[in-house]
Amino acid sequence: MEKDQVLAKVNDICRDVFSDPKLTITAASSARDVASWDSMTNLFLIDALEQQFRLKFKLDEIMNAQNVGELCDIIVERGQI
Amino acid sequence: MISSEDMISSEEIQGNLYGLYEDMAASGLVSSGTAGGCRYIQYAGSAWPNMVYPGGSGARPDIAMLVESVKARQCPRLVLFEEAMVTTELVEEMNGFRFVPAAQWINMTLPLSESAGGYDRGQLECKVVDAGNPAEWKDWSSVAEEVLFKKEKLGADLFKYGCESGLFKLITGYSGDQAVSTTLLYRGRQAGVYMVATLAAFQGKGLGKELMGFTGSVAAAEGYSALVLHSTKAGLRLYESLGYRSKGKLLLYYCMA
Repeated sequence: MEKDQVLAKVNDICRDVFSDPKLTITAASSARDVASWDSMTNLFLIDALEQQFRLKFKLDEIMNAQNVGELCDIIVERGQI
Repeated sequence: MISSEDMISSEEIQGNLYGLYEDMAASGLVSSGTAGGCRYIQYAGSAWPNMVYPGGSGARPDIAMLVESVKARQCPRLVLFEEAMVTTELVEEMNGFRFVPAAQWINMTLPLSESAGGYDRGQLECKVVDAGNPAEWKDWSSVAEEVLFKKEKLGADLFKYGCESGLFKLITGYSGDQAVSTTLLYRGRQAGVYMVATLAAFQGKGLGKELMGFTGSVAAAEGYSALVLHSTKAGLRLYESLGYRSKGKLLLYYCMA
């Protein structure tokens, strides 16, 4: 699974979680770039990613991820489509 | 009625929120029950109320049982704990079941006699509205959904029930013809203020203070002498500026088991 493929799917999930159909996410995107991305929606995002890619993030990964690219790296390593 | 802020403990402030959930559960419109020594309330298809919360007994939650309920009965994954419950031992247990801290709600209270000057009409027209009136419900719910629930829909029938039964009053602040801010005044043992929201474009202009002042005046007219609420970190400055005092907190976790 390529990171670009993952990023495209993550973008769709972010549009749904953050209720913004026009949202464009890049690897560098983080909570600072999306108004409705707070601690709560971050967990909804993680939950949605786990279901979509059939993986479990570790607690420290959830707490420490700095941007979408870091989440994508974990998905590329351990996730499934 | 409670007559002094000093008489209102963190347990009572928390109990008021649990009372709101229990009153909603009694409506018959939502699912509710027990999970691991806690209570839960769930309303499929509505952004609120969906929560696991302490039963009020102060008993230590059974995390394994709670998680089993979350999985088997699809209970809500948002779980409230009282600060005193969250011991190192409990945190270790929660970590094993992938409970992630989501937010902190600071218990706050304000004697109405000390509310910052009471209510004076300023930039807003503040009105008690009726969830049974489609236009008024649309105004109130659109602001609350936008600001508090990431645009997820709220179940109109539950709010209609709350208004009709006298459990709460919905209050909308209008700037001209536009609904821009909301509160929900729960008429429980304490007067609880919930669903405090102001549209992003109207924040930082003193409108929140104005609506809170109006909400306090409605509570005072009903004989209450204090308000209670739960503040997020983001709201803390506003409430402190209005004279609210902190009394412990509730810790919100998201169960990712």
